[in-house]
Amino acid sequence: MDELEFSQRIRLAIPSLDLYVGSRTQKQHVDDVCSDAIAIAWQKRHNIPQQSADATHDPLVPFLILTARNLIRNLERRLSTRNRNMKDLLPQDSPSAESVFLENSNLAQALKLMKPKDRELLLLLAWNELSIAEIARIMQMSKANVSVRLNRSRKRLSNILQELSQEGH
Amino acid sequence: MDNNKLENTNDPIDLLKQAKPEETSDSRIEHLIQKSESKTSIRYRSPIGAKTKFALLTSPALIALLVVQGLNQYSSSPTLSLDLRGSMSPSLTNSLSSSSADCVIPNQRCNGGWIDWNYTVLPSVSSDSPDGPVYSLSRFGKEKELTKALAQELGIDQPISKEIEEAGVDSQTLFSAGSREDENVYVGYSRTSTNLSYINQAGKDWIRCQSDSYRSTEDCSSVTFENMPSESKAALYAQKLLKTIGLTASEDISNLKDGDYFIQVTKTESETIENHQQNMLTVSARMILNGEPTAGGIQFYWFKGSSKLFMIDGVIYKAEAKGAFRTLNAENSLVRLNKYVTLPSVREQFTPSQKSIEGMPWEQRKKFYDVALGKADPLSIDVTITRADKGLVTIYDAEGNAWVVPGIHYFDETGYLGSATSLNSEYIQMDKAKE
Repeated sequence: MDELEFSQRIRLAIPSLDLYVGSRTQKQHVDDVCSDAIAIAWQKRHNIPQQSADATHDPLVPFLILTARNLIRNLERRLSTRNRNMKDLLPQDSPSAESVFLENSNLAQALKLMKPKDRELLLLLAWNELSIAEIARIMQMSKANVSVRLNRSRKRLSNILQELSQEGH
Repeated sequence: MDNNKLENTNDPIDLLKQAKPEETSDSRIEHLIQKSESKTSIRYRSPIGAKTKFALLTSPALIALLVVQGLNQYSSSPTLSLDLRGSMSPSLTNSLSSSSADCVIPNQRCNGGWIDWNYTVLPSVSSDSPDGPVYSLSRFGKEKELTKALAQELGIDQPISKEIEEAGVDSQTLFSAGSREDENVYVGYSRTSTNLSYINQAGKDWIRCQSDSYRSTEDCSSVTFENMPSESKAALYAQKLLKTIGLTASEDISNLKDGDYFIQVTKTESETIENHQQNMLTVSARMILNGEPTAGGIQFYWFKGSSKLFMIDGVIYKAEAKGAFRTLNAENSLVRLNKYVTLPSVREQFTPSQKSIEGMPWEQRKKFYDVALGKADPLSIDVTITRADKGLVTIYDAEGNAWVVPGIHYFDETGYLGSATSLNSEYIQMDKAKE
């Protein structure tokens, strides 16, 4: 594959990767995870399919997100073991995810109250605008499962937002 | 986003779409591309100019070439060659504890050129430099058998499955038993290490259901809270688990030989896990080499509310002795302290010096963020070394291989300043431009 062409594909895919990683991990890790995912994509570029003419997304996007997801999972496992060493070091302003972006405090609060997996599903749909099939591949779930879980998550988020609104948040 | 396609403005998906952050800027895309280039030995062509690339290759972020040509004391032939260029695994897995010139959070082992320490060594500090042992670390045992043994001991009666997981540039093969939704043990291996992990998903409910906000939205009625085991019972259980995979472990270090594991139990309160305050019981098992515990190892966790083990996480290795190597003395190794991208991991957390970033009051430490952000000039700090202990440290090469090598732990009168490898300079080729 032409390296310049792949380089261009990477550039176009980075915003989606950055968005996903920014919504999944603390901000001090975002650059590391993104750049590691990009480095892996370069190494595996011969195994990543080309974008077909009728596809909504370049397959590189779900590849990068899936890779980032695995990297984050590894990172979280390791960080959990280091929590006792780093609790002092984490500044108060190292929020994870959505709160960085969301000005709507009810929405930020509601997302915080969602199960992590449900939150991830919703954001992959709403922010990364991925298809059910792409989400299923990333989340390692069946398409049917993704659809059902998305529906439930959407309702749960709606209910939480309603409760927060009634509580006058 | 195409808002016209949204049929229901009360749909939370609609709200999320409206709250979608702005597109990543071009400069940030460039930054991430450059950072990714620094993490792989692959130098791929990209539309950035040759000048930019030259700057990237010579930037402190890469402090690149450290080649250790080991010479054992009996031979002049090189027996080791450690290339730390683009060392990737440590940058991610130790992102909060290892050094990186562009790390976001300054800490004792992650300077990034924001602080200049001016060291003075007291005459009372030993100037001897005895030969020190070097060990290469590699995968331990047969992973499928380790998985089977661990699963059986943990009471997981499920078939073993195999999958490939991307983990850095080095993909990892995982053998696992159990369900990710319930209880799951796996033993993974990359080309360079054997990783153990176990998670009891029920434990997450113990943790979450102690949170008022979580309880208000999730059904916690079925969650039963139990007492954590005693420290001695936890240690015995960890020993038993390690024994099932062929490792000898003990709380008494005098009973252990090279390759055995030294066990320590700690009980802490108010740990933050998933934003909830927790009490935690941790059993740490660290491999003994040359009579001392090495860095890393395996941890076993119990949390308040759980009588059953919540999590295992760690890495096990087979160690191979490479011989004894000449070393630098404390004064001559000092130049390596707080200077290189890949600083060694050390076996335990010492009490930090008040002159180290970790030991400073938070108010003072915050000033380094200004330096890191370019709002202030690098700071100068005078330090007097009062003590230098010889020991072993762990470093990683560019391939992700781990090595245990001689090192020196430095102290001033208030505590620990950091550690440096002390392998003799004759074995090390350093990129002079980046020292």
